[in-house]
Amino acid sequence: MLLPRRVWQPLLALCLLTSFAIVQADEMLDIDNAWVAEAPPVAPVMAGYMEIENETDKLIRITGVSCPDFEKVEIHEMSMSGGMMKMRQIEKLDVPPHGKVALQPGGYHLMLFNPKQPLKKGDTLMVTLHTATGYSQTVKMEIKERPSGDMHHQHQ
Amino acid sequence: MQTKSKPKYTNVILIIVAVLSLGLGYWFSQQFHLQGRDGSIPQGLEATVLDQARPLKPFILMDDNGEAFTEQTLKGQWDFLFFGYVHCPDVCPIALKVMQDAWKQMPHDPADPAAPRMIFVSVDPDRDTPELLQQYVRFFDPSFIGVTGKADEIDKLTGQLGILYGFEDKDADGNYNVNHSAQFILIDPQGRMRAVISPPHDPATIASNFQTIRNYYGD
Repeated sequence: MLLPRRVWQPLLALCLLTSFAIVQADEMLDIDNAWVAEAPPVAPVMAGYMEIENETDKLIRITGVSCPDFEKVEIHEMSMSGGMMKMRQIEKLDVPPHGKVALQPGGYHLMLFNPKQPLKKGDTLMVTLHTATGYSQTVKMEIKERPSGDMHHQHQ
Repeated sequence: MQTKSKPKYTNVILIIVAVLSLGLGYWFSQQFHLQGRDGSIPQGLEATVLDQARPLKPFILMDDNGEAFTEQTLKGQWDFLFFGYVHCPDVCPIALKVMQDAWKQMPHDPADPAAPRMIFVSVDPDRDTPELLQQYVRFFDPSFIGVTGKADEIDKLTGQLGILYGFEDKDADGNYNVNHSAQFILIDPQGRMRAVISPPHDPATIASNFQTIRNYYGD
């Protein structure tokens, strides 16, 4: 109150700017429909799916994924080639500026290796995406039963 | 007189021809029915039906109870086969979920002779033991059957069904992917390959197509 205007005005501006920057950082990626497919308790791997939207003007390169409930997490891509379904690891997943990438059954998915304890429908996991610039964002993923049908039937 | 009687003869001949045609047609249709419908296929299906069902050559695999599973085991009921592996995060659980949903829409009381069996064949016997397979497939339904065996015996089955698979290199942790076909194979009660159902799979379509195929060829 006793502070002169020339002191508190810049302080207020700084506070506003900082909070604005935090909000900005929190919203680099808009993640929707994040879920992990329920699997038999003996399954050594699980698959996770989500829609990732880049809300910035710059390309965001996802270079890693982690989850404390699993030994490791990778991004994989499924594709049909030579009459076979082929799965390969993706080292980096690019989300274009103001663009969207969908991880969905039969395409890109998170491959979660060796759950540390059996997981069941309704459990939630905290999964963190790491980008090439050192930024990371955590998303809550719920374990859900797979919907009926496969591939194009699922994203209508 | 002659000009008037001529049409009468024509009528008699026409009637005889018509009766003979009807008789022959009936006889042919009976023969056709008796011989089964091999040689023709039902129309309007989202499945590739073989016009001549293909008998299977011998192979010896093992089911998830440790019992022998051979071409003879496939006789006596309709069977759906899917080929995959337990370390498969996406395609195999999707296929097993499709099997589960399709199966619920088919006759599935084990006492019903019309109930088909759902069989998951692992092409990755190094990692998929019968015990692991059993726990894996029974999660989808307690009646589902897991099958695996020696690689050369697996190849005897996959080779004649047109199923392809191949192993990728191991990563630093020893994990490896298996590339594989994603078709369902339908085996008839005589233990013959009858149809191939390619992805994308819709459970309701599979269930109704199965009913059509069963009605067409009989059990």
